[in-house]
Amino acid sequence: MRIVLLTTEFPPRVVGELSNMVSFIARFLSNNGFDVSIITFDDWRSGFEVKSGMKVYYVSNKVSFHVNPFTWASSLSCEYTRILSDLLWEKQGFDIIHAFEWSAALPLIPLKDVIPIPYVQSFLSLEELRSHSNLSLLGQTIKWVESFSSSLADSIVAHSEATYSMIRALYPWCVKKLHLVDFNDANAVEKIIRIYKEVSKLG
Amino acid sequence: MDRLRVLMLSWEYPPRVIGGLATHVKHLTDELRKIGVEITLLTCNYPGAPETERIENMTVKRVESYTAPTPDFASWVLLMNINMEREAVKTVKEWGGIDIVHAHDWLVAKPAISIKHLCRVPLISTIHSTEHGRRHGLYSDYQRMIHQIEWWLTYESWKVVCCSNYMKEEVVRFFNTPPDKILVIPNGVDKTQFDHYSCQRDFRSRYAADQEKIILFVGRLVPEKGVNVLLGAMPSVLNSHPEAKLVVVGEGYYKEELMRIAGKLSISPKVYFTGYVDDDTLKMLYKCASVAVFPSLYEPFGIVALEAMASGVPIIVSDVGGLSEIVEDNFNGLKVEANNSVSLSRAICYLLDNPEAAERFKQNAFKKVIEIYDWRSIAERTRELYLRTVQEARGNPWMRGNLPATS
Repeated sequence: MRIVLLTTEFPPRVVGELSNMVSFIARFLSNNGFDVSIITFDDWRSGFEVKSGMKVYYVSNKVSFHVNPFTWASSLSCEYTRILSDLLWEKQGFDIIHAFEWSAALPLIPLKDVIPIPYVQSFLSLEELRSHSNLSLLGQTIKWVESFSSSLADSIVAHSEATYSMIRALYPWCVKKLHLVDFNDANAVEKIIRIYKEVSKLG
Repeated sequence: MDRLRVLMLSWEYPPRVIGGLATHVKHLTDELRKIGVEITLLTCNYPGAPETERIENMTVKRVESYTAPTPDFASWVLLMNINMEREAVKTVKEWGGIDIVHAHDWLVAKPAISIKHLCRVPLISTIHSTEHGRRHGLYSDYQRMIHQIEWWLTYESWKVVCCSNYMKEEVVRFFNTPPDKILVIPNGVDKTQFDHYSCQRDFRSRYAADQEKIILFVGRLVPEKGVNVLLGAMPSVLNSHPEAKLVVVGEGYYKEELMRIAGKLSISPKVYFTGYVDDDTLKMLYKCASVAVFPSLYEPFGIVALEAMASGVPIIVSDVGGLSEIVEDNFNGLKVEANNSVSLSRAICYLLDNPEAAERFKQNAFKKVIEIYDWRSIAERTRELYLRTVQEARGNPWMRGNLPATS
């Protein structure tokens, strides 16, 4: 099964918990025979390398000045689209796209209607939780992206109990496709593989 | 080739009219479709306007643009871009491929660049103005961000269209764009749009007394338009021509400051700020004016000057940007030094004192409108650019012109 992981953090770029989590999933999948490609942001370089069997595509943001994280993620998403397009044109496609957090969901929103590749969306947290429900205008914009990407995703993975409960409360229409995968759980990646198989045509 | 399919992106299209861009895109697409170019235009929605409109071989799709609250204009633009990109992808699917994606300005850069890569299709961009030029420099991260998006659009484009040589030089200077990648195609004006208008006394009396001569300004009330310079010229004009009356047409955040300046100069009774006026009123105002003045400090093109030329009113422009290219001094109008009230007041007085010169300028200006600024010839040059680009792109193995197949 050919998996593409979209993330804004992947080692050596470690900002928070996300980087190591994506790295852990990617390595596990790769070690278990999955064909894994990762598209990630890097501050300093763009390019491609094979790392422990995983294909890692680094993209930089063509726009270096920004006024908020949304403008940053929006311009960056074009570079994700470019790599995804290259993968679709040159590598005859893939079976699953798995995006981590709202920032990596942006390139998938326009594509979902026309490119029928199963799409899994992971949330470590939600803007509603980060802002303690006191949403600024920026927070409302991000919340819109979270909500819209949730509606488009074939499966949603919450990586904590709090995130899981918040998604249930905010987006009750997502409950049927919502999964809780806590990385404190020893079988976390196996659960993710099961989700992939559920949503994939190969599953 | 059988048919040329162009996906055009513009955030403005009538009835959504913010600046000159909507008018440009409207006339360009009208003429392009008449000469056989198949167009789907994606633009922002507008209250009362249909979501989809079919005009012969052109489709206008208005995308949802008020999706969620946003902290600033650029964020709103980028959020609107998501919906535009979705619609663009759907359009390519419906059409079964496209030949060209054509983007107007930075506000649609992101969907245009995404479609270029997704469909592997040549991108043409028209840069109507630059952030650096509009702001006279870059003073904040917000402005630098927009500047970089503009650069990005030119970088990703196969060809860049500018409406004047001035804009071409600006794009080369600010974005390091190779000059041979840029094509100058001017804006145009519909020469027949004033045919059924004349100055009616009742109408005129709403703006000026019978004996008063109307000096007309039309444009957004922002500092770069130089209305403060025109106000500064008025005391001197009124000294020698007490019958002069300045009519300022337009809206903008600088309006209150301009009214304050008029008050400070004690010329308020001789200045009428009309605010926004409808199209018919504007055309009649042109017909009633003795002289039209465009004293911009920055003007990439200056389509209002062309409209004035088409209406048959003598014009005075500042010697900047595109205005300087439209007017040949002492032939089809007068040029004055930008930001110089003295120079401007002399030019206004000269035209008010010399009706023969004013008449000569009007006639020469109208000839120029017919010869250079006709929308049909502009559309033909644009189609030539499309065809040449498609031809060049055909030899490039990267190009595909459709959505990727998925396994």
